[in-house]
Amino acid sequence: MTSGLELTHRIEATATLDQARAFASATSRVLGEWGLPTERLSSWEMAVAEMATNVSRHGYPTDEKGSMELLLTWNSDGLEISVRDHGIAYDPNEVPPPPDPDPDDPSTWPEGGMGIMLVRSAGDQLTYRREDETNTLTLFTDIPRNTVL
Amino acid sequence: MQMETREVGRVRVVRLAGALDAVASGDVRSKLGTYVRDGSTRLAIDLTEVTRIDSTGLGALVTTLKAARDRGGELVLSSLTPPVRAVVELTRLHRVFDIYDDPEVAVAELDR
Repeated sequence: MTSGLELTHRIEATATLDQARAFASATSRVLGEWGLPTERLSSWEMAVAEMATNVSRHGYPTDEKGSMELLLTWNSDGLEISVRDHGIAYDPNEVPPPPDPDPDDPSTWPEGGMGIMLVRSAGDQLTYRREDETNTLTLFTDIPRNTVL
Repeated sequence: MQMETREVGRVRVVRLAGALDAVASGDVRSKLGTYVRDGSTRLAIDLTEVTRIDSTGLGALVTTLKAARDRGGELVLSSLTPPVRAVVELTRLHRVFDIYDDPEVAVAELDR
């Protein structure tokens, strides 16, 4: 049960790369307006860019793009950043992290697979839910609202 | 995203401006790949004005670095802004790329 004022912001859009970029920009703008620490805004922006880009690139394999939704929630528990879509199931927890790059071995230099690692680095917990044909990926950051203001 | 190139000695300097994200990275990867295939295997990427980079942007730089090294060349980065530096370090790619604070020093090192 949360206490005090809960702030939420929601955006729904077509799952395109341009909209992924728009979600990212909106994240840092809205979280900045809410008063979250300026020095962390770019990492949350990056996390949303990765989450939404993933949906636009892989969520809807057919030509017709579906929708995706960004939901920001900040309350006395912490900050939740969720990206939701109705595309194919995708559990990032099943994706192995890229190898630690060895400067002397080009085969270990990652050309992909870094996105989820970047998302995780921006918060404290990443959870995935698949319910009613809907994917919800949520990044939780342990930054309760009442401790910041 | 904007891309501006110039040649200094044997080095092709590529100055990028804007967000090197999934919207731009395909084009950037393709252009850099063309430069390498056409013989510009010493690339100095100036990131002074890159506001943000994501995993696809990093992937484009890694792909080009591999292509340049395969042809006996090199790709170096310079002037990383704080958000870009943070992402490069999180992915531990600072162990792979040569990174310079000053673009002119990067060019001079590559042209040696």
